[in-house]
Amino acid sequence: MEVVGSNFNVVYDSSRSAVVFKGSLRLDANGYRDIESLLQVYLAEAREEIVLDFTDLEFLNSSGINVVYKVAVLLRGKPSRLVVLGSTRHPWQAKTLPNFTKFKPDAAVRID
Amino acid sequence: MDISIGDYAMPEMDAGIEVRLNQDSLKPRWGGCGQTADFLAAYMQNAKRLTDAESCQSIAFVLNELVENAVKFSAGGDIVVHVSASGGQVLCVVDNRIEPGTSEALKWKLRAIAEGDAASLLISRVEANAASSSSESGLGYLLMMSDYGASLGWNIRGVDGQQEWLSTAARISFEY
Repeated sequence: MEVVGSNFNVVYDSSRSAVVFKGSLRLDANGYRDIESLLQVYLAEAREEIVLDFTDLEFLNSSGINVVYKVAVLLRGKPSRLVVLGSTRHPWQAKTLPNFTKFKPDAAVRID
Repeated sequence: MDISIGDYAMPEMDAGIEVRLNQDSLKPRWGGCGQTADFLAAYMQNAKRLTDAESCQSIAFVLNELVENAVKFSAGGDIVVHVSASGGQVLCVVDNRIEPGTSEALKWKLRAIAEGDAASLLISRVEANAASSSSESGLGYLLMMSDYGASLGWNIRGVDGQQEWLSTAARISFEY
């Protein structure tokens, strides 16, 4: 399952049980509907671990940040563990990804 | 009417650039917002010899949010983007027309942002968004302040007794 745009793709990688974001995401608010649907399908399947991998995502605007932060809010009180993967190659990630723990304090944010 | 909210200081700056965008042409071509932000960030990176990727990406993020906001909410006509720098600061200012009759509600909204704690407002806003079906995030200003340390200010003014204009200023500090 994937959502593909001219300069991004978001893939549900079932082999890793992760949603992988790549490219540059600067859609307008309505443009994120398909990505939200993909995430909802992913979350609907009960899992021990939910993995969001932003390692190859160069840019994410505030509308997109809202969509991914909502995942953490929706996982509150549920047994699934949230793992967020990032990279120091993209400076925005060290600023924005640690906020996941504000919405789900036991989220594991790894920025390598 | 001429009201300033938050940190709307306009210090003397040196290296600068100004571009004029047309809302009608940008709205259907949304990617133009990001292209504008990237171009201006690259220009300032060169003008100020910013060598680190973090500074350039911070300017691009802030400008992208300001331009996207202006394109979404402008009441038409031109959108003017000014970027300038001096010492260790980069100042981004975006001017756009606002819909007549909306300035009062806008003032309250902006005051709440200016007087609140950005990190706390960010959390409550995301929680509210998660419980809502609206696709509008309302996170742009809060992320600029909480994650990028930007200082924000706004000016709302009447022009020619008919039009109302909003200027949004974001100041980011760097160690050059």
